[in-house]
Amino acid sequence: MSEDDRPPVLGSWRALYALVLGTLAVLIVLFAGLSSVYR
Amino acid sequence: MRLLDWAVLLGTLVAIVGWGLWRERGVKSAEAYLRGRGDLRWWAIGLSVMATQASAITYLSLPGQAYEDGMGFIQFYFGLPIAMVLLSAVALPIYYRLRVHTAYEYLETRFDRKTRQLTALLFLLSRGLAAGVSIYAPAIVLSAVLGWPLQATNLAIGTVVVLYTVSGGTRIVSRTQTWQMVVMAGGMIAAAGFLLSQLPDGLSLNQAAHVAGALGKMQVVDLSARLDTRYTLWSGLAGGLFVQLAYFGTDQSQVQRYLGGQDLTQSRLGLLMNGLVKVPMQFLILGIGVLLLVFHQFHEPPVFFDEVQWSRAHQGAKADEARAVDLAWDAAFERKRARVEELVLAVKHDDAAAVESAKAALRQAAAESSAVRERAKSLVPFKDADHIFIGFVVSHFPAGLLGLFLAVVLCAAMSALAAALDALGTTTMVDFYRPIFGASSDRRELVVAKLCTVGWGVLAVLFAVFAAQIDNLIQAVNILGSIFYGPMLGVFLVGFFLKRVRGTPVFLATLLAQAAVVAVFALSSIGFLWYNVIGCATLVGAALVLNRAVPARVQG
Repeated sequence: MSEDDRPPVLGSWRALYALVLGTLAVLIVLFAGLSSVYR
Repeated sequence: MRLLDWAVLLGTLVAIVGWGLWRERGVKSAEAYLRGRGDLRWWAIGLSVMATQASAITYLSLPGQAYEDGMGFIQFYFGLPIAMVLLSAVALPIYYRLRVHTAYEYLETRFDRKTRQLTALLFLLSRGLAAGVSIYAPAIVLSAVLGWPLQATNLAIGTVVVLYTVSGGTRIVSRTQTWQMVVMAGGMIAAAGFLLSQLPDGLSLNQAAHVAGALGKMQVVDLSARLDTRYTLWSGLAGGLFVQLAYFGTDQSQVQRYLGGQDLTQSRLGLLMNGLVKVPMQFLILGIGVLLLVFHQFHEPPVFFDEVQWSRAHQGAKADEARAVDLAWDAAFERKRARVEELVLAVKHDDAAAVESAKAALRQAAAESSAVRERAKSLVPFKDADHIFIGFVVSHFPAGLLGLFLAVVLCAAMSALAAALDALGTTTMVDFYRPIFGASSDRRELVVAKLCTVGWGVLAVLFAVFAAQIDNLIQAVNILGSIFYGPMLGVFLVGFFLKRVRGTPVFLATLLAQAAVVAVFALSSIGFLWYNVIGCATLVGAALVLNRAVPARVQG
């Protein structure tokens, strides 16, 4: 086992981390939109 | 319960537990009992981690929370994906490099034994108490559905889960959790689908959301910066990040799940899967509560959701007042329903002015309705928030779906409680028994480890007996965790990032930070998510100061 193992998708751990954080950002924007529309 | 419900319930539980027992029938060493075999793939780790966090309380209490307070609770989970990334990048490589059984073993490597054992003790306190609440939540369901006495139900659930956990240790817990999580997700999707099918014909999701919004339940994100507001974007991102970091990084019930992974890559992927799926999953569960609220705008709900307690109120000294409340509730419901139908019509005609006017009228009617409900609450010395969803399930779910929902609740109870008892037993064994009594034979260690699991199970059942006095179960568990998690996380953060700080200053800082959080809890109205930030920041600050003040010769 190596600590520098590459993930099986997206090529690097940084890219996977960006995917997780980017998804969170999109969800928060969507939820803020819902809050605004259905006040 | 009908025959089909029993078949679905028992079939699901027996299949999962039977499969787990058959797969893990070879666990005969202390090492396999405590750590597993280290062969779990990322999807199994991800499902196991999610199943550990999603206790029965999640499915009983969360829809009721959304019904009463709206969707804002989702913000509590905003810190989770960030925590998954940080733990994957920082904590996991360290735990794997040291090949630890528990997270607290790392603290002896980094600091000293007393710091390790103090932190492990904080874990035992917080998780041991929370395990009791985990038993009580499904006991409510079974006592409501089957009419069993609540305390006997507590005892029965606790006994079954203890026997199940002791039979296979860490590995059976993780293995069965993968299927339990599949059942939980499938059951809640089916419940959401059924609720949608029960809304009035022609009512669109958009119209339903307008009704929920007018009632103040669609405030998903709150941008205000008030410290005394429990759930805001900021408390979710900051406080939520701290509590999720502490929970997943330092709570052994979670650490034990991903340390059983095949390798570092599989464990990282498992945590990141949790980071992607968790927020949408919680949104679905909260959404079920809001859908139920919309349903109850067209079908009159009980004024008090614990119908057993409410019928008792009709037999006591306040019977006349209870009957008056019933009459007032019927009238308030009819007035509110008329306002709801006006709003739906205005939305249908896309008339903005009429929509605003109808919303204002609905809010007025809802306030009158709430006042009647408050009168009902004042007549009963028990809270009913956790009866909101289960009351609907029992009275409306069709044959088969009721059994599936009960399977969801019991799967969740088994998975969370088994993980907690497994971790409590492992921590007692690894962080206290072995350091105090030294190494002994594998057979003796296996027996002691199993006795530790049983001991914690007994304590959890005893605590469950007193949980009936708690208002909302999921909040109670989260508040309890937040009291201890801040200092626990602080110890690990100092260990990871402040290399010059040594054992004794951290040990003293932990005591100070824990006292500070308890004082904030007892003396202030600050939202509980901030306890994690306060506890962690106090510990880090105190450790830095004490590291300079305490002479090097007495530092650990």
